[in-house]
Amino acid sequence: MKRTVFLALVSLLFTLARGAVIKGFVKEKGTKEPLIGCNVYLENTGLGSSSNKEGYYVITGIKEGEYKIIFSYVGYKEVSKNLSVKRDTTITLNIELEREIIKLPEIKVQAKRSEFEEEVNISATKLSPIQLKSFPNFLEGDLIRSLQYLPGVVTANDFSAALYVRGGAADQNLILLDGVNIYNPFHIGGLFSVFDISALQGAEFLTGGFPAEYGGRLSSVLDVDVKEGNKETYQGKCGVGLLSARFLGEGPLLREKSSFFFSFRRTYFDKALSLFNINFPYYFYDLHLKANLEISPKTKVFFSGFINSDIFDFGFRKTRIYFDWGNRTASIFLRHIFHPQVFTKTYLTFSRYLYNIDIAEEVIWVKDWINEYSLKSDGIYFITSNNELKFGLEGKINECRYQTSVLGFSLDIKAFPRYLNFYLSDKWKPIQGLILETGLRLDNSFVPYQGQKVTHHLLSPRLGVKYFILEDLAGKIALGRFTQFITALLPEYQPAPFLYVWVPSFGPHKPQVANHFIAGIEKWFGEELNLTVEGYYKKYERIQEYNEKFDPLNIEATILREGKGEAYGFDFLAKRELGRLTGWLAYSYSKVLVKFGARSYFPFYDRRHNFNLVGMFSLPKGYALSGRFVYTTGSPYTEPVGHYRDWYWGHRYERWAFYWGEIPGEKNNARYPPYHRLDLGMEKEWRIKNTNLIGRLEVINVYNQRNVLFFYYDYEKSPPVKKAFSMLPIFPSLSLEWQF
Amino acid sequence: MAQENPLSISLLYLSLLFSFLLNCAERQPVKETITFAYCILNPRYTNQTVIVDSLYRLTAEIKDTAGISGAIVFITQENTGETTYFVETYRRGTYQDTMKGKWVKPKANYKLFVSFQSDTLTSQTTVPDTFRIISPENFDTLSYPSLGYLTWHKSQGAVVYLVAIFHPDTIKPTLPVVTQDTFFDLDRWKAFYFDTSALYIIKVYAWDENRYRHMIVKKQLPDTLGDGLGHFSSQTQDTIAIYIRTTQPGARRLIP
Repeated sequence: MKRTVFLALVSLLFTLARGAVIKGFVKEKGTKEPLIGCNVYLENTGLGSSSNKEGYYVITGIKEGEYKIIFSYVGYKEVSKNLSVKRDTTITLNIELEREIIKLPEIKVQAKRSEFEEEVNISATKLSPIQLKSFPNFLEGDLIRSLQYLPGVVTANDFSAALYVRGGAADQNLILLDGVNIYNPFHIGGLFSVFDISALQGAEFLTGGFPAEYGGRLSSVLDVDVKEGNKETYQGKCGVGLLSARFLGEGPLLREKSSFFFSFRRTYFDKALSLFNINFPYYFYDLHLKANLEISPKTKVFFSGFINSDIFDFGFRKTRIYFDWGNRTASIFLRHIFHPQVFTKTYLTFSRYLYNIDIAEEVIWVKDWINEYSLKSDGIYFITSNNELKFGLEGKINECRYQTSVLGFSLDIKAFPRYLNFYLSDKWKPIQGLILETGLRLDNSFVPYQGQKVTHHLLSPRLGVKYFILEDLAGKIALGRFTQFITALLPEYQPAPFLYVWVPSFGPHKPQVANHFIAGIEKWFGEELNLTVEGYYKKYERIQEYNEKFDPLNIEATILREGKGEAYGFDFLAKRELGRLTGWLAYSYSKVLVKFGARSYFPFYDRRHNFNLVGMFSLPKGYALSGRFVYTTGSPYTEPVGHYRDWYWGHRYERWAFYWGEIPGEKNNARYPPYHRLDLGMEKEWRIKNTNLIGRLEVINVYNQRNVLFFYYDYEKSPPVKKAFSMLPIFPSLSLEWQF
Repeated sequence: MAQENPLSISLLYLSLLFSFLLNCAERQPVKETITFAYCILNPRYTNQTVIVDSLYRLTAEIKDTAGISGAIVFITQENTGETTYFVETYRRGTYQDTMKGKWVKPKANYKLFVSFQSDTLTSQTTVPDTFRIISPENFDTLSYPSLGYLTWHKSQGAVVYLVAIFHPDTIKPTLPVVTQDTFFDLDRWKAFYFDTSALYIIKVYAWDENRYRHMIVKKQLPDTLGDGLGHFSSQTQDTIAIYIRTTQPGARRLIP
């Protein structure tokens, strides 16, 4: 009986999609890499679709007749085909698009324009590999640093790539690599992210109001995909920069059925500095591995792995000082097309972030890690050309552990939360000029506490609406409730936070909750200029942060401090993607206020005015120029209001001595001076036989602005003299890349 | 010089780690006239010291005016009522008793009074019992690879012990270890502390609760002096000198 009802329901759903169906994959010619977000539409019909992460597209509800189907994608030659469609048939049309020979600034932007017409896209930025490469770089092409140029994103300083999105803290960003959660995507003290742009197939960055398929974080989502690998020929790429060298390789394993991709990057300044007799035994590396096998046209399996590590191994006299930290991920995912209109992906993933500190062979040591084991399945049901239903289910286990022994004191924090999440999301175009995206997500957490399993169930509704006021002008609204079950214990202000200690919302603490309200307009001026303005209000019902006064004997109850907060502001973006001169102007106004206990204050990432001007200019003979100017309000900090002599008993000479201590004023009672910086770059590409050689010269902080990282007082002077520690001075860099 | 940068970086990270582990105290907002005092009673010393000090404005010039002069300072033994008065020394803000013998008794309770203008500070401590280091004995010679354990008697009233090992190279910073045990594994940490053949000084301190809270937990007792800035505590100690013979050539042994 149940089976009969189920089959009847399925039949009913499929019959909703009356008419013929055109489906298939869009891939890159020469490599057979899937093209994500390629626009596919039937000319003069209003019917269309865009390819998903696997390059799959479906157009449904097509009436019998003659059509012209067009495939359009940024940086690729547009392809069109004439089709004769018969009633209720399914046509499979796999297309390969060829790259445009001309450089990015000259490409057509029809694809972006189509995205505007087809997607709600509130607070969303989709980045293709070509776009990623077009961002100005700082020493290394870096995905997360590139995102800092976008509106709504605030950074702490030059030494941190951590993102603070629309008033959210650094741990409120969901970062996914091939569907796997990355818990700490930074190298050095946060100076670089672990994502090497050369290895990426694409990325999507959502700064708020994100759909129900994403959950577990309050502020933003960064969804990154690694390249699949060339299915036709073997290719390689070598790059040498000021800091690191990289090598990428890809090629077919079974021609047109299977391919591999790997990339490896390692810094070498530990080796380079040793040539000058400077001992700095620090290096980092990251390694991406990916392979896929097409079992049948409907089924494909992927294997993905990622390792990154930072290692500092220093010997001082006979004392070894050792730090290492990094991520390890592994995943298998299966893509299966049950029906031309039902596309599913099932993931089995493992993610681990860890760090170790060992001083003097375990005299002082710290071991911290978080493991995540996840099984999830996502699906899309293309009901009609105007209606897509997304659904998903995820079971997840976390293992959070922090162990240390320092000078005879030991501490052990452990938690094993479990999660079960469901979501449904529907994108529907009920009438011409209106797109509705509704969603519902149910997150359930199970965390043991005092011998009992504490359960939380949180329902998160989501809504996105886009209405075309004019053909080139659309209004957008997004509302949603967002939950977060995990918190990184970061001291209030570290110049470069990188050692994250993740703990769940355990003990008496409930998960964190925020509500987003976003409204905006998007306007296109012809094919060239796109203008977006979005206002937002984010209400933090419950947020958590590290409580420095925790009780070691009652960690679960005391290590987190609960508070509330709100953030509001607006983002303005004017973007030009056509012509020799491209770039954008971004301005954000943002105000963030948090309250913990009786104390309200502006957190250090409350930077009111953020202005970014980014430009790229292509010149003949393979030359290109780029530049970026940024201006932001200074971060709040706590200015001391007094000082005192902190006396201590000196054990060696058994006498009193002192150092100067500071009496802080009210929390974040002052602001650093405004931050501004100009970066310029030049690129030249040489074609040598069948290979490309690209040279890049970049100058960071061209006019050598002394932006303040922090203030300190020189207490040797009386009265004390206030001094500033500056961020990066003027910094030139040179890099070479050879593509073969 | 080339090796100092990584060390300073590691010390920076270590300090961040400490701040995470040891519950850094969050100081109260300034009260400009606040007075606070420091005193650690130690039965080993003939004269005890009390330092009376205050907060300073960042704009204040305080070259020779640091410290509180003219405070009334005395310590009372609680069960006997004996009171010891302190007088200011030539160092402004530093007060010492005028007793001619050792007057601080192990296991006794003492109460400190400091009065200056409208501020009156009081706090009390119970002195831990004296104790002795059992092994190794003073001036023993220990050889690599097996150094054995440093052990000592339990001190009644001590909350924790601090072990401080001093390298003969006086500019090398020492990193004391705090433990609740009455032993210390010299073998395990020999590479860290004993990197050359030399005479080393080892001091073991027994801390009362006030000292432990002020130095480690950074959580103040309600009656701790000066809004948690100062403290009144007590400690007892024992000291030995041992010669360590490593495989590395080392300093000449100065004391037979």
